[in-house]
Amino acid sequence: MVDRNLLRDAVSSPEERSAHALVAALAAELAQADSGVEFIYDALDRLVDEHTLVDALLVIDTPPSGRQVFHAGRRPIRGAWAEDRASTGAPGLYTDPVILQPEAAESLSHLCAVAFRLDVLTHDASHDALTGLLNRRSFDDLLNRAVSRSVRYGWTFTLAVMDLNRFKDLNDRLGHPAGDEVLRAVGRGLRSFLRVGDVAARIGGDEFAVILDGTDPELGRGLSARLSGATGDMLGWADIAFAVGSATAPDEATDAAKLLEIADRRLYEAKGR
Amino acid sequence: MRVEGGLTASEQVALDRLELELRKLPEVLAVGFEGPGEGAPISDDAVITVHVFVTGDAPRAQIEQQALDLGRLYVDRPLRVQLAPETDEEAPAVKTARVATHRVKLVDVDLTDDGTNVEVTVERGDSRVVASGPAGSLSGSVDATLAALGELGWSVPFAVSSCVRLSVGTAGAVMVHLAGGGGERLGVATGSTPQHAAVKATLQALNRWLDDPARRSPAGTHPPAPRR
Repeated sequence: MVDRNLLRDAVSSPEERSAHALVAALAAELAQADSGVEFIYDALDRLVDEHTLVDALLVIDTPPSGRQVFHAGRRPIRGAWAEDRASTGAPGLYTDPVILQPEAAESLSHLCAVAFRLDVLTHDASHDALTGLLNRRSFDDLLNRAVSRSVRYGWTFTLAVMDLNRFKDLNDRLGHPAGDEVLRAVGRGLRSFLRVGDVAARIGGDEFAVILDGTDPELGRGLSARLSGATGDMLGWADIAFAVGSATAPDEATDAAKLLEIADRRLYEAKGR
Repeated sequence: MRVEGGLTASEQVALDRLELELRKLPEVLAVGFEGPGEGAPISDDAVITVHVFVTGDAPRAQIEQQALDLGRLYVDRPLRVQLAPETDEEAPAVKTARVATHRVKLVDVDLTDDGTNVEVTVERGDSRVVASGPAGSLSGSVDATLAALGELGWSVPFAVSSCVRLSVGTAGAVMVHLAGGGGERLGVATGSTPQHAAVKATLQALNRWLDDPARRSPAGTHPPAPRR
């Protein structure tokens, strides 16, 4: 939470208080924040609330994310004032009316850009860059947590692992860019039917895994068909198919390694058929 | 309060994550949320409208579908996605950084072979210089940056006042506070290493000051910046 007094000090005043003191203190608060996005909206909303502003909008440009616009109140970009600045305004902090010293506005913009970049870096550390799904390390962590919850509270879930048949052939035939496009399509396909609480990850080259709430046998068995359906339009040209193996917790195993082993064995049985 | 109405703390966190995921799509410029009507707060069990502000070259149908898919992963209530601007013609053309070509460009930050010094390479136009500072503290990276600017022709009236590492999650950043005859300057930046971040933060702190051509003399006519 951003201290109201700090933002008050950023406003022009007869004493011309130091904008740097503000940013130094805000930076310390950022170090404690859970999320850079939260920090940014908090700062914008405090500005609006404390100074009864009509509006506040932040434009930042942080490679590789590029131009990003944040509107106070997390509101849609709507109306000429916001749309003009969001579309063509130079990076900076815009308030209506203008109340900030230029240096304070610039420093706040820099700090918010760093806050956003920190969020992106944290996200990237846990996700696969190609598919946008969780990476293996994050998946292992979540699987262990799921198993613990299952043992402790009796929560039931299905672990399904899958890979792409003939993926190597596809890479050889059409090249790695085509292979990458297939993997991206699988990532989008998986996300298209997951729900809150479900987890999907890329755990190897062409291997994926999902954790689905519940132990209905159809969940695992139907996964291949659902994934084929979800990616059908995208992958018609690629001539590939999915093999899936699944296991349920806590019925079939109560530790992550054993659960993965069962699912893997069924995956290879499915591939052999 | 960021989103008015009936959102739990965990739903707020979920919206943070959803927003970050959406912003990672290359054509997305901004994300907003509101209740079922224009300007309406989000209330319990009501539909949430996710507004996604995109560039003109955005594949709108694909982004709309991805936004819905991502939304289902994070928010357990009905979602509707609204792309804006509503027509391609109204959308901003390109999402690219504006690069000031006259600015000092950071080329490299590296440690010497024995690891005792950090070497900062910067360039401006055709001039490229390398300066070094002690690697033992982040201030050394700041000093090296100031020295490099001196080599490029600036008499930089600043010295490092403080240099602090920040962290959020697994990521890190460095904040640099400069003070001296030129007043106070402050920069914050992330980097591949703490030294890299410290150098970027120093340049960020001085960018505006460096933009004034009157402050720069021909290369080599000024002594290097003060060293600690």
